[in-house]
Amino acid sequence: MTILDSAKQRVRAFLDEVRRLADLEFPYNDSKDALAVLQALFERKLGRLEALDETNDPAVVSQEASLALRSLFVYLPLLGFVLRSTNVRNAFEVFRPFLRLATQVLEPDQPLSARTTRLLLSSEWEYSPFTYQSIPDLPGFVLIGIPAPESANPLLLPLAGHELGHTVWVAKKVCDQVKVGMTEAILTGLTAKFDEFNQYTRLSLSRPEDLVGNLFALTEVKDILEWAVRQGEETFCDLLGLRLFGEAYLFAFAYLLAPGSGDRIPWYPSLTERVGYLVQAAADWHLTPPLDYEKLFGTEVLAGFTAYDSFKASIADQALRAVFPVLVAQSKSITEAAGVRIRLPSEVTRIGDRLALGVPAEHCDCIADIVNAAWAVTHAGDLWSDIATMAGRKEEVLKELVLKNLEVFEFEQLVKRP
Amino acid sequence: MILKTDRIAALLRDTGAHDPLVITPTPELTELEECGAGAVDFRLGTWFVTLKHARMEALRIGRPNSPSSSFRQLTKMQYVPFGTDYVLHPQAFVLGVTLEWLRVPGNLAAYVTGKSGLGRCGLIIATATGVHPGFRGCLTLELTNVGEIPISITPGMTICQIFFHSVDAVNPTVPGRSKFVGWRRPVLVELKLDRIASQLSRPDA
Repeated sequence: MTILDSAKQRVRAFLDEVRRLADLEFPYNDSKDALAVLQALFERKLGRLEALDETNDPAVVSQEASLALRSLFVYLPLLGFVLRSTNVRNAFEVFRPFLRLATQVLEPDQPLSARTTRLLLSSEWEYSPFTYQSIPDLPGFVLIGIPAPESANPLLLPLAGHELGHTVWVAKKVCDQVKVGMTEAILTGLTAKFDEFNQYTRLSLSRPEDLVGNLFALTEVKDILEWAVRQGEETFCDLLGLRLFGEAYLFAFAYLLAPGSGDRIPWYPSLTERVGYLVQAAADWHLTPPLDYEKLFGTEVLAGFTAYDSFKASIADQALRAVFPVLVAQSKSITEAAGVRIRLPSEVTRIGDRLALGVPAEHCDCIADIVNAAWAVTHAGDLWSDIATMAGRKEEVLKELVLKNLEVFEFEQLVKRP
Repeated sequence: MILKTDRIAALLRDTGAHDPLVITPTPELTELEECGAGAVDFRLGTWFVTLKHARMEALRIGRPNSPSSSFRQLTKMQYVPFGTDYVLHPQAFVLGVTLEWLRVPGNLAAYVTGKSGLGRCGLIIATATGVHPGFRGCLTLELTNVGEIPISITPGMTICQIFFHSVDAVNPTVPGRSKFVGWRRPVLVELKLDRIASQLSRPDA
């Protein structure tokens, strides 16, 4: 079998799988639309491969086969993602309310009929929620994976807000707002520790100006900037989650991560720093973190990294600290421009009272209010203690009740359409 | 005594009651007050459960050593969002659920019946119709098409009606113990034989 034959066969196998998946039951069309885009993409790729034969330049054949192979690497995991987005373990009631929120944040200026954001919410075999970013052939699609065992837990919906932040980071070009500030902070940090930098890199730079004048030094600076930018993106996503979901984000964050695994990776802010930033922003926005929130989290170390990595991480940390106020301002202005309000305490109390009564609340206008009410109710020690059939399975019933509340919210939105 | 809808509307309006009747989403209360009916219409929800026939030898009710020990293994859950249809074929049996989440106070009980219009199309709604005092949750519906042509149903349509009646009890505050409380999706639970039936089913009986 030639390289060209195997390349064609691989793409055909992929397309066969796409067609098989298209026969699934799709609760919402967005997943099916994503499949249709992938099918068209790979049919084009197959067409290009089929246009080649033994008379073509082998280098051209090899290049085309390589491109097709690269696409398979990128898109095959996405097919699994689409498949899992149809699994009934998912909380489908969340889909439309969250899509509406995502659309509002990403396309605030578009009239309803012209909005194109599409959402794939899937349950994944990764512990941390994640998003597929920058899929070039799926513009307008937001892809969020929730850990499978928690995919029907509406109390963790705020974490999807964090993942939405990654799409917002790219769409709103937030990086452009912080990159210059981060670069300056990195140069300042390295200048202050110039000798240490020289020792680690053995570049023997004679003056701080060489940090940008020496090509090798500049590469190191860019590496640190890359870490700082990734840290900045994670922090921005935390802030957006906090802005969209209020205290519920803090609770969900702690549920998922506290006390921490103890290991840090340098392109994430340390857990201590992340929590510190969240608490700081919460104070700015008049949100109330749980008492001793920071104490829920342990410290982390950069296990498996070199001393130079630790040094670079410390500089990246400084760069993030320098632009943190910009990130706070960005997350606030983006949500305000979208008309997304922060959770309303009076609404949280009203909805919480209904949940405590064992019924969903009506006339809600913000999913953050619902999720915050649910978290508030979990902290009521005597919840449903007088109802024997519910007291024994409180967590389960609360999830059911909150999902029903989200469905009632959706029902009301649909009924009041003009 | 069956409650007329104006009485039900009055109970639904009394949101500050210690032990209120709640139907969410709330039906149109003015309509309830004016219609003079004896029952409240409930709507079809978005979740359905069917049985996986091919994996099932039999539904052996109450047998502890049943080979099909988990009902979950034998059922398939489906989600049908608003705006889409579910087709119920002749003789098909499916569990559906009400859109409404119901809270029944300690001094009321209810029962579920079909709607005559749907019944005339061959759609039978419920057989186990009693709703006990203290119930909270969505009601599971047993849907069967006894007609000869497929019937298309859609979440949000009115599917059944609920009659409420008052309960005469020495102590109406004693909470109900329904095992179907607190669910948003159709519930199929494993049934156990009661003490007497268990005694009767022992091999040496």
